[in-house]
Parts: sequence; C-alpha cells; structure tokens
Amino acid sequence: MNGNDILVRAGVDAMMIACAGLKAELTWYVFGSVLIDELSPGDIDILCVAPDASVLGGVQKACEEHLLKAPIHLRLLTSDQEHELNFICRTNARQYSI
Amino acid sequence: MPDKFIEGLLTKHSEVQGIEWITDNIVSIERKTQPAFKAAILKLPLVGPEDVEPYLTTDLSVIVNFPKIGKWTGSAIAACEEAGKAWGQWSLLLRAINAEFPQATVNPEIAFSRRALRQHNRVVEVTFELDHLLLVRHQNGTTLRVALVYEYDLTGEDVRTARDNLGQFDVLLKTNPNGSILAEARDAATALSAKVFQIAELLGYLARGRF
Repeated sequence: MNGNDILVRAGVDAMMIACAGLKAELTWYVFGSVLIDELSPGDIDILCVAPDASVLGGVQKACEEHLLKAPIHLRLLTSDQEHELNFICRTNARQYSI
Repeated sequence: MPDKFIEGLLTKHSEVQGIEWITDNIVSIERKTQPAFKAAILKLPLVGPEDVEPYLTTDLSVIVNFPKIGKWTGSAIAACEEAGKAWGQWSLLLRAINAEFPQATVNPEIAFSRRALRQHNRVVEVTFELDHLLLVRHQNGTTLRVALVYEYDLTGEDVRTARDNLGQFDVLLKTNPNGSILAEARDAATALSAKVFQIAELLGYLARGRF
C-alpha cells in the first residue's frame, strides 16, 4: 500500500466524486504525512480550494459521509484565503486528481 | 470481518512486528522493541459510554475511533480514564505504538490545553463535554464552554464548522501555537457571541474573570 493507495482506500476519490455534483471549480491537494512517504499516517490531510465561500458549506456536507470512514483531515479554503495564507506553497501540497 | 485498510496502516508502522485480530475491532499489536498490547478500534460518529463499556474490564490498553471527525462524549472519556485506558483518535494509536506504556498515551493537543486550564488559579474544574469541547468552571461561578480547534491558520469557516460540530461555545481556543487567526475568524466568532483566543489570551481572559 503506497501513498496513492492510502488516498483511494481512505475514500478521498469517492469524496471528490461526491463533490463533483456541486458544479463548482474545486481543486484538490494532498499535504502532510502522506506525502513524506509515511505509510502509516496519523491523518490524511486533504486541501480543497473553492472559488468562493458560497460553496464551502456544500463541500463540507458532500464530504461528511466519507469523512466518517477514515482519518481524513479536510481543509477547506477559498482561492483568496489560499493566496493570503500561501497554504499550498507553505505545506508543499501536491495537487491531486482522479 | 477486520478492516483491511486499517490492517495495512498498522502493519506499515515502523515499530510494528505484526498484528493479530482478536475480534473484528480488537487487535493485538506485536512491537519490535516493546511488549505487545491490545487496542479496540471503533468507527463511530460519536463514541458514548455504552460503546466503551465492553472494553473497560478487559486487558486492552487503548481505545481509538478511526474517523477523524468522530467525536467522544465526556462520559465515555471519563469511563476510559477511570479504567486506565488511553482514548482518542486514530493518531493516538500510532503514538501508543511508540510508547513504553500505551495505556498512558494522550493526545498532546488536548492534554496541553486541559492542563493549562486546570492549573489556572481561577479555574475550579475542567471537564469534557466532548473531546474537543471543555467545560471550564471559573471561581466566579460561570462555566465557559471552550471549543478546541487545531488549525495552523484559523478562518471564519473553521469557526462556523466548529459551531456545527461542537454546538454552542463561549470561547474557541486555537490549539495550534503556530500560524494565525484571520480577522474573518474573529468576525465569525463575534456573530456567534463567542471569542477566539490562543492559550495565552484565554489564560488572561480567565484571570480577569469579566464574563
């Protein structure tokens, strides 16, 4: 089981598919211990960047069922917040797509 | 049937020699440099006392809840602590695997906040409503509901999500000592009639006791 297997088996792909119905331009990233070749991560850190705050509630709701199945830490940010915090750069987050 | 995903995560841990499932959710973990221990792994949205009760008189050391957003009730926590069992989220089990005494493992985020508040000279008692919602009884007779949120940068959405997940709180304590509290987070808290603090600010707030 490698890092990508962990993401799939944790249900990250299923979570992203569930959010596809929101018709929002979401961009997904992985950061934290899964990326540093840790095969037994304490959390599976996922960042979802949304164009604006209006869809964050919908993303949270669509992900909820999947978040109850695995130790996924879901970070939701708008594009503006991400720029302000420089989150992707600072955490060396890697874009993730299905 | 034991969870193969969990099994895979455990067997990849650098300190794990092997595992044996005793039941579908009780596992014996053989370690490379320390004695083996047993753990119960729950998968629940909310862990209550009835969920931990079957394990309290057994020889297992640790009870964890696999989903990150799964919560623990205060009464389940109290039952575990009284029985000498470590409790927490998945990451606590990984921490326990490296520990000399797995049953004494704690979540450092919660343990630090709890101890800092308990040791405050104007605080009478600190108890858990939920694992991330503390009830802090002040000398002046007020009990503050203190939500714990571990994020590097705290946003308005984090405050609103905490309200959804934990219910009403008086104070949101940002438990990650690094990073920042965005202005929008303070605005969101104000809209909820709450305050957002880091630990030093909260200790000062308790010292003043004007609430």
